[in-house]
Amino acid sequence: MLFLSLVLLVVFPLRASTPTAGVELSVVGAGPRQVEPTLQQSITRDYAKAWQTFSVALQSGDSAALDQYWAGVAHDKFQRLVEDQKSTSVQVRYVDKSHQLQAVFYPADGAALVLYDTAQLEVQVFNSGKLIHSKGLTQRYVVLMTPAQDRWLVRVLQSVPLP
Amino acid sequence: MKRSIAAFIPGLLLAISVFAADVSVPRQTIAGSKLSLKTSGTGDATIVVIGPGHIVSKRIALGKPLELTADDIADAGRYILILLSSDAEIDKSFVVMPAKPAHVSFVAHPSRVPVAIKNGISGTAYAFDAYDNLVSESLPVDFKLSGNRMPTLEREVVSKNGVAAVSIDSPQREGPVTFQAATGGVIATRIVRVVADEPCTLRIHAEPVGKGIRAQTEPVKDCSGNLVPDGTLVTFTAWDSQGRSTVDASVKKGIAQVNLPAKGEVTVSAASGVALGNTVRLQANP
Repeated sequence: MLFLSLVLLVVFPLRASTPTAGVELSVVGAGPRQVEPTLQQSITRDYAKAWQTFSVALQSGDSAALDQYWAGVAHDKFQRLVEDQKSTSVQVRYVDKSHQLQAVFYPADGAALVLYDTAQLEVQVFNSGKLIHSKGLTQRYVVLMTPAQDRWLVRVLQSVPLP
Repeated sequence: MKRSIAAFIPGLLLAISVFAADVSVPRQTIAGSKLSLKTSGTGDATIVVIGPGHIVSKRIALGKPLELTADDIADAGRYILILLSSDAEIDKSFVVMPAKPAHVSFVAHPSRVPVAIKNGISGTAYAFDAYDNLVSESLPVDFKLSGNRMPTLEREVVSKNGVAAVSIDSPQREGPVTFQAATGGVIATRIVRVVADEPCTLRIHAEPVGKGIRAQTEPVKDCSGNLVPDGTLVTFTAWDSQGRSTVDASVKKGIAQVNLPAKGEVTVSAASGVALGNTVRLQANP
């Protein structure tokens, strides 16, 4: 039985958890262009992956992970955050639990998408490996995403006060 | 005795509050400003500031102001400040708002547009401060479309959610136009090429030459009177006793011309896009 289980695990490896879990998107009121259903799927998938790669970059200390789903200003800022971890011995972890995305602007040329994200996060701060801060919070972000070859990249992710 | 203890307690609390490690933070400040934060207590402490894109960690002497530089608080967003001392671990938070606009990211679309298209030119402007923070508060953005052969068009749009967008009809005349977005004294400029639309009407004439005929258009124009761009295709068709001949010719400097083989009585016509030309009948050289 154990042998059979091992064989099954090798032949059918466990699937990774779905990357879109915890990300919900509303396009009500977005415009002037209609946000097509395929785009909605891309946005939820790529935004979730962007947070995953951000988390990986912070944990591994390797900012190269950001290159996959981050660009421009957001990429540069988070790259510095990752690098600052090395120089300060302070580690930051953003445990993102859920994201409520609201699309607000999608121009006629389809060259960008502006959204708000109301995120449930837990922020953990470690100093030389010791947990010195851990707090759950609701954070609102303004998000600017732009299309690349096969995905949407996060170009701006900026926290703003809750309404 | 009870009375003397009661009298002692406020003094004790006062002493604790004076000597307890603490730091005062503002509720909100502007990106790139310098902060001098009051600290209390005695001895040394470690201060950790976590910004959206930057971490500051340093030893400080309690009781002296904690200085944060413009670079330390350059990113807009929520900051966490943690003070670690021998007797306390304190965390506080504050918000950094974007500074005034320093540059505009301006997307003009398309880069080439036919004349007289309703809402044919669109512009989207995102204002950023000197620290690359998106200025998310509402701002008036002035859009201006100007060119040599058109009256200047201006629109003011108040940005919402960090973005201001406008759609403007493309001008009646071809040529390059300047499209600008300006806010807070910052201007971004793009050039949009306005090109002639599809041919509107087509008129041709033909004459016998050598062993056939030569057919030529009059200057081919769009419905606004602009010459169509070089390279626009005109299809000439000739019928004679031997059958039909069709030749595509490109417009050069507004005119397309072609030589067609023909014998005897010939009928010639032309078409380009949705425009059909007149029909010409002539006698080819024998």
